[in-house]
Amino acid sequence: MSDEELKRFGFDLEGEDKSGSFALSDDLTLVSLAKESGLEVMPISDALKLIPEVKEKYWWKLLSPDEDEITRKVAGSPLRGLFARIKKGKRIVLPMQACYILRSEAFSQVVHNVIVAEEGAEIHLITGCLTSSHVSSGYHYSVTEIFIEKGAFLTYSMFHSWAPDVEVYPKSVALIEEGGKFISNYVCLREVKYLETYPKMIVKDNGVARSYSVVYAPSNSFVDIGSKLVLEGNSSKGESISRSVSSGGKIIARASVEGRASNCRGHVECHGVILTEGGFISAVPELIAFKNDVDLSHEAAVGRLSEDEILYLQARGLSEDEAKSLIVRGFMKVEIEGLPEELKREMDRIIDMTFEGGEGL
Amino acid sequence: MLKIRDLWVEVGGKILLKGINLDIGEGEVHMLFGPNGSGKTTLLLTIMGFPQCRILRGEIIFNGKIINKLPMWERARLGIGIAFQSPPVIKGVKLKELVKLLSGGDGFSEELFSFLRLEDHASREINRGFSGGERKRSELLQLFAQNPKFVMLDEPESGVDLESVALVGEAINRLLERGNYVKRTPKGYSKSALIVSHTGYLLDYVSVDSAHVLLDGKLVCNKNPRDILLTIKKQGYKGCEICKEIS
Repeated sequence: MSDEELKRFGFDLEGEDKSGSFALSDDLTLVSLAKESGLEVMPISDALKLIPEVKEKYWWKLLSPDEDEITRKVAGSPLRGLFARIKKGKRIVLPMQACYILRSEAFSQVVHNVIVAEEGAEIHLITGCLTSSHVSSGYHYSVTEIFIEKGAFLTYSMFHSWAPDVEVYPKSVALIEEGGKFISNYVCLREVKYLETYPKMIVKDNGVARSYSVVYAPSNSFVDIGSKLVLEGNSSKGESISRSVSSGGKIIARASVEGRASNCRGHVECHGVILTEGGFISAVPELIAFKNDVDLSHEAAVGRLSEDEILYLQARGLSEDEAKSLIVRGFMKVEIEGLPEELKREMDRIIDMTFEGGEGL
Repeated sequence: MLKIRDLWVEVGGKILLKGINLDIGEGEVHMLFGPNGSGKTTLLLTIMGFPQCRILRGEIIFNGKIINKLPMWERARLGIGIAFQSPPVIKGVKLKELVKLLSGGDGFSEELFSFLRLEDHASREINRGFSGGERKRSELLQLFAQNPKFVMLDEPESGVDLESVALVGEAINRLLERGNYVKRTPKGYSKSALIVSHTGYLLDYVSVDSAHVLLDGKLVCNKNPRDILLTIKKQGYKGCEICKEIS
């Protein structure tokens, strides 16, 4: 994996403008460092040895090791992964980066991460998951447990770039305590054989969880992506927004919101565009209400690009491919409330880079 | 600049243009009048190259080149621009993003956003929640970015309040380098235009060289724009019918 390849996805091993860095290449930890006080970054194996409360408070607390095939696989594998904790009241503006690289052909990477934002803390985490350019096949299994304590704020942006024969199974659960805020962004714009991810977010009183996913599936890709928001606390809020583009690939976009407490509010949006035939998009919004004063809503639409819009841009001098590219890029650039400007620009940059001039469509 | 010879056009199985002949010279501004459904918009869309306007016969010649078979974007790159009557919302594309793309980079004058009172619309999706007048001004802004030699404006004053008609008129003069924005070449004006109008209000602001009336797919009259407008105001398009019979 060259530095150039890493940089394309916003990861730089030096980590100059980052508050902390972690990189795992196959099963080798390349980097693990924290640059700001109040931030701890270390391999999970070290954290379990050195910090007793990791096991007591966080380790397998949001998921059970025998919940399914993926958790069993992770529980039965050598300890690899990230432990990151931001201390109480500490707010760090510079993002922290974590990178998971598949470097050897047909390697099976198995990871268990624990991320903690203590009471009133703030941190922005960017994770890049990539395949080295000479690798075409492999597996990535991961379990991530995320704890957002009272009044804390965590953003978690995942940029994935896999190869045609890679299968990916990231599994995560986030617990958002009272008044906490969590924003999860997921971007996957390159071919992947099979990707399945369905992060769960449990939101306590007055907490907020927002989940955004942007997926592009060329032919031969199968992406089953979604999120489940469980609004357990009074006046908690949740939003799940997905944008899917298929050009021959298969996408299942799921989004579920459960309103379990008084005055909770949830909204789900699944929008998909089919550019070429051969694949499908299945949009599956689900609303479940247990109280009579919850407010849950959904929007779902799947279709082709609007002919009128393409013609309009052609009349301005854009070729058909350029017009489609501009519209698709616009479709994928979701307005994400609360995400720092720098991360918004980074997401836009990656989307532009993928679809500039109609390439990849 | 633009010559049209015996143009017959079909849209959705109906013949909407029936033998149009039209010459617009370099630097000339022409106005096109006609009742609803007479084919005015079809003529503009055919010149632009919209695929639903199927040419059955005739030629469209732009700067000496027959453009009948050129795709729309190539015509636009040759220097033909259009402001649509009812432009669609372009989801996800911000006005300033398209303007930057059309002007070929960062050279576009920011002042034009405020000139067209669109400063607050720059970061919005094109036409999303824009009023009628804002849509018209956004169309003109995009034409400034494109800088075409030949401009087609489809009812630029419809749905615009009277106060804003003055601004639209001013913007058209600036776009065509007329009025207070004159840039004459040794031969005279260099930009040409075909303006579709219902009301003729624009005649108070833009100097128009010649006007035509389109009735049921045929151009029936080519005269001074004020004379035509007077006839339409007094007698409606029936006056043009009579005129057509006399001629």
